[in-house]
Amino acid sequence: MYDYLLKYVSPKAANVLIVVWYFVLVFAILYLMVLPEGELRYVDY
Amino acid sequence: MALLNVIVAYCGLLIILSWLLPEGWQVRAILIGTVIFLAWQAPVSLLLLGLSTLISYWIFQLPISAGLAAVIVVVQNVALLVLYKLGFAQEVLSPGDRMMPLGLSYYSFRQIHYALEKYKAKLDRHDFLDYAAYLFFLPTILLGPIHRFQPFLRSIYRRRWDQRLFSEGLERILYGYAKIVIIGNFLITNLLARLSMALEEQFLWLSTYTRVLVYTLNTYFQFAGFSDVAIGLALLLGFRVMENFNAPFRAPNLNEFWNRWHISLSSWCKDYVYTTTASITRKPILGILLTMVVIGLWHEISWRYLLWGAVHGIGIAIWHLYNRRPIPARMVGGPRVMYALSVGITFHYVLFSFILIKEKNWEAVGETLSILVGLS
Repeated sequence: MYDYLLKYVSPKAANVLIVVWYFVLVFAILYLMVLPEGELRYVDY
Repeated sequence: MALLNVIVAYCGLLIILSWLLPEGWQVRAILIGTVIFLAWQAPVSLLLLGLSTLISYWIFQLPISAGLAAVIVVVQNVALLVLYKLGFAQEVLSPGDRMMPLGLSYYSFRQIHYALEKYKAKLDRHDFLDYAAYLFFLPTILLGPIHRFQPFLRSIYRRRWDQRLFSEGLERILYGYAKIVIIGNFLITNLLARLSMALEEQFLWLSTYTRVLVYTLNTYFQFAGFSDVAIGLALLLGFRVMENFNAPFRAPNLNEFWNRWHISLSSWCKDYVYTTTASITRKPILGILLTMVVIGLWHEISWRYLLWGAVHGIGIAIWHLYNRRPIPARMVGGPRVMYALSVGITFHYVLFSFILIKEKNWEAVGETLSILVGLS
């Protein structure tokens, strides 16, 4: 993802954007895991 | 707490321990950590897999030919897998409890791979600890991929702290969780499934199509997410294991689809089922069909999975026959349109095949198919 960002923006902006991207993902995952529809399921074949 | 979260949390401790200990103890710590985890979470699985590992290794030390040893180990693992998948073993050992030993499907195929490569004398020198560390590698023992012994052995001896590898591992785990929780559970299982239900009364065809789409996409994102987490955890421990998915729904044909979907299983079957069958019978189409049936039965020993595998086998066989013929130089719409059309056809072939394993009985399969083809 970071390499992808570097193609379009400066390294400084890429640093900021990658932190924001990770933060959004972590927040969304943690928020959704609390909801019943975000519950994890393990499928063992 | 979901098993995946328990594994990730436990692996966190294992990762710290494995990098802090003296070099000679690091891989041993990962092995011991895995054994402790199984003893805590699934003691019966540990007993069964542990016994199988010890027996297999002992067989290879016996003064018998490598071929005979490989045959015994392969038969032992296939028998164990089939007995558990059919439920016979549970009836004898613990009636009423039909739980499979954790990760048995992955473990058995790893054992068979080891036995066959050992027979071919393609493995570098190693000891019991390397062998046990390969079979009892926590990130992959429960979630796959069915990684190979030789690259794993190389990683054991070349394993060094690498900051880039570590950050790549963290990123993979994050993307794995995003696939499972955000895309699979929330967007597909929750939002798209609700849309499907809302459409049911007025637009039956669209609702049925969306229902099958939900199942297919959810299966992919859940499985790919679990694989990402497993690969990420392995990277944090200093091991690069093989990839399991590579954008399978962008495949322009069924053959390419299976080069991108569950790569570790399809490449395993290609190496050991297809190559063997095709070289013995000189009939590659038979090899393709048998390979796909084995892939189907690996998931579950039932008629529906057998048929699912056969449907894919027939699709690949047809593609191979078609591919032998020269393709017209000027195609309608040019190569881009043809490519998009191929991707669309492949995706829908896969989508329709998933009806076989999605529905609970043949009646439901027939009903869904008849709605989708416009017969009811």
